[in-house]
Amino acid sequence: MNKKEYLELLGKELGALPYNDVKEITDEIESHFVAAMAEGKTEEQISDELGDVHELAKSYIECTPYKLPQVLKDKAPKSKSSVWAKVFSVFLCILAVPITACWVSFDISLVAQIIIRSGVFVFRIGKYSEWGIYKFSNLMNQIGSCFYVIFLGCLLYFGIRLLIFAGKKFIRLNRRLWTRGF
Amino acid sequence: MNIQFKKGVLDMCVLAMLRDKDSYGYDIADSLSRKIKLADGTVYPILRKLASDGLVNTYLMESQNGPPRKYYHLTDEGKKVLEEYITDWQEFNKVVAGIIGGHESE
Repeated sequence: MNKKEYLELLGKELGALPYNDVKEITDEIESHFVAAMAEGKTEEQISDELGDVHELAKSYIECTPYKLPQVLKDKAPKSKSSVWAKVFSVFLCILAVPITACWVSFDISLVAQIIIRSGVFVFRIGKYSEWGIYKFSNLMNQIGSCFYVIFLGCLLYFGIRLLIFAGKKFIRLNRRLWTRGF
Repeated sequence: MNIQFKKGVLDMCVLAMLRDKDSYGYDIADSLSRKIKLADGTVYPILRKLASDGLVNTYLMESQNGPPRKYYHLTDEGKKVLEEYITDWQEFNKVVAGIIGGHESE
């Protein structure tokens, strides 16, 4: 391979790097050719001694890893999509307020119902001796309301679990929207 | 010699060659490849990396024949790093010698 071929191939292999870097590198290798030729070596001999073009290009690319993230960073849109993502995130936050409020008041109403029904239940059981002829139907009634309280308790438990789960998801989603966009 | 051996110490060798006097690419590549069997091209990516790390800097100087040459100069940072390299290398060398000599295997 002569000097021209070697340098052209090197330039092509370095395609991943910015143009200025490729120019600097090929200039440097060209000056190696010039210096070696001044010592009486032939172009072919110098190409051989320089080693495989592909290997050389690979080492150059490996030696400049900082360039690639830089290039990616330059290309990463710092504009529209991330601005829209932020707008969307704010919108989600505004939307989240009434939903959370509804959810929390629902949970609170469940707590209130459980307390009241339990109170009534205990009160009725306490007055067992005054039930008279309605003993059986009253008893069924109490058992029914007992199950109802258990049902409400389950509802409350899952309601709170779901609230925490959704809250975590929501925070994570919003954080991603702010930092990385869509 | 194992190529992995060479790769690890070439940075140090190149820095050490620039310790006493500034030099240009071909000179470094030529004298290094005379001592260690490797392709002349190997040195250039290393020089570039050292330059981008600020361990060496470059300047152009007229040559008697042909275009100006790019000379490499060891910076203060480069000197510091070289000293660290050498200390590490000597310590490492001692340990390895101990291991392959069998003294550590007892």
